[in-house]
Amino acid sequence: MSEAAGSTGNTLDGRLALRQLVGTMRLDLRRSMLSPRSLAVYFLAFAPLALVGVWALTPFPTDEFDGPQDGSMVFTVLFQLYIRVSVFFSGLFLFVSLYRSEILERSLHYYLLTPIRRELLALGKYAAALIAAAATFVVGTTAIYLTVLSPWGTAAMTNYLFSGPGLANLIQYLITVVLGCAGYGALFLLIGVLFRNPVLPAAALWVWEAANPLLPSFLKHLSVIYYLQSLYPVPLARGLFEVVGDPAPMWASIVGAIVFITFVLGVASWRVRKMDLAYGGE
Amino acid sequence: MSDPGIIRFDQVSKFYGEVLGVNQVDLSIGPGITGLVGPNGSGKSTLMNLMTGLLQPTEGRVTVLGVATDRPEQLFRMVGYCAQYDAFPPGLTCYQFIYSYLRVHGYADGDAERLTWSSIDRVGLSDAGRRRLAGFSKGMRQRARVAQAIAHEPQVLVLDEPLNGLDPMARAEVTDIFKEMAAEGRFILISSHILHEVDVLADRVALLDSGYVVAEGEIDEVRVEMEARPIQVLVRCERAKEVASALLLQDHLVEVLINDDGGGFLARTKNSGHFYEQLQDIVLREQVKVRKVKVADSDVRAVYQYLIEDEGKA
Repeated sequence: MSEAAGSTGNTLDGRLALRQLVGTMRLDLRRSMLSPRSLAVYFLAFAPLALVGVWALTPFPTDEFDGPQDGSMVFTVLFQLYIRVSVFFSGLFLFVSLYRSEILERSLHYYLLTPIRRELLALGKYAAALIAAAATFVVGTTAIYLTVLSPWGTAAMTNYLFSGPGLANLIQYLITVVLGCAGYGALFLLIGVLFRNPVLPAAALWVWEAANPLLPSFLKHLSVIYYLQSLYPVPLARGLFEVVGDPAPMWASIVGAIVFITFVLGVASWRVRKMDLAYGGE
Repeated sequence: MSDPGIIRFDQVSKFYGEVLGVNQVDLSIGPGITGLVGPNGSGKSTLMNLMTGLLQPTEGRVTVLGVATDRPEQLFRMVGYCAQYDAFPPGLTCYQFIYSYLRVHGYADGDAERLTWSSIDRVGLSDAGRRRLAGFSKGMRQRARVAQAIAHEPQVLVLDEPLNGLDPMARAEVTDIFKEMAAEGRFILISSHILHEVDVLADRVALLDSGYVVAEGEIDEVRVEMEARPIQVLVRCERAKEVASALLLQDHLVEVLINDDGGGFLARTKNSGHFYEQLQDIVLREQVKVRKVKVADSDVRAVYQYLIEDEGKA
């Protein structure tokens, strides 16, 4: 008898669960990276690169800036937009459709007819989409970062990256973008399993995230952007009506984001566990 | 009480909001082939989806060989389900389709590959195994879905209209697979809206209508029960007593009850065909004006008649 047919004992259960998780991710990774919806994600990730590329190629007075560190400040503003638009809407396309598109295609039942815990299934699908999104946005962020620094020339850029704070900053941006994919991904997975039409809840979430600077301090904690902004290596200039709160330390932001994501994933998994599958009448 | 040797529906009801799916279903299913027969919309698919945990009952409990249906991690080690939906994840070949879900089952690469080819061979798709499902004919897609349902060699196989779209040759091949699996002591549950289809396959049938199990048992018992059951016909007409008296001369008439207002009667007959012929003769001969003729217990018999009519067409 093969192992999948008769699991006994914790070790074997653990190995079986791992194989099921990998099996789910394998199948879903293909969907997340090669389906038509992934084209929208690639567009959102790399269209800003084209714009920044045009900006970088346009002659401008670099001598009026102190050097690449000023480019880094420009990047922070771009990065804020990148998170709020590209990462946010990519999460919408990729994670809402993890269940919703399979319900529309009438193929979700194949998953639900396997002996996998539905919580594990949700985790596997989420992990596959997260890998796809994170890989895309890590490449996109790195490319935009380097393009923004490029007008100062290769020597200044190399010096800034390897002898200055450039590389550390880039790594911090990459951690932020991955956490952004994870945070918005978890929320959109939840929206996808709770709502037939995700447009209104997604719009509400977008407004909530955009309004974050104006929220009282305790409400700021209930948004993804709060944790992400605390991780920016170069702080953003404050807005006119912004409610100033204590910025969270880096470790607290990462832990806070992970706790937040775990909680949202837990609720989504619970919903998936209780989900009735009816494709819309017999 | 859950019995590890049977599939048990215990007072199961399912409502979709206010719409009835199935109601108060109390059913036990043993090994061998059991047919779920009923017209479209009678609740066959709901019952199967309840049995496989895709739906949870609003009331009651379903257990499959002692396992509750809200435990997929245990249930689908022993249950395979070929649902009615003619859809596949996009872009996959037949092999990838079956293999990928076996990996989700938790099978290692070698086992998954062996089981995949075994099931593909079993449904006669060996030559098409590496082809994309999108290019398959309807019959081939149906066989691919059957292969996916049987790939992990389940003890219980649930098949929703599995012979739809199959040509006679493929139908015979697939039918043989079900019979082989039943002979191995497995539980096979097959739904159909064509009684004849199930007749040649199933040991037992459950007849469904409007969400209720209206008859169940050995297929011949159900036939006898249906055919022996008198039909009730309500007639509203002039001179009801005279018409009823004339009809009472017929052997097939079991009982006649005259309405209190004298404007009609309720007749119970074992032969509705003769009853209607006689009624027509009397009405024409006696020049009686008839206001209404209506079958009073249309449910079970209508279902059966419907199925029999379909049997004739099949």
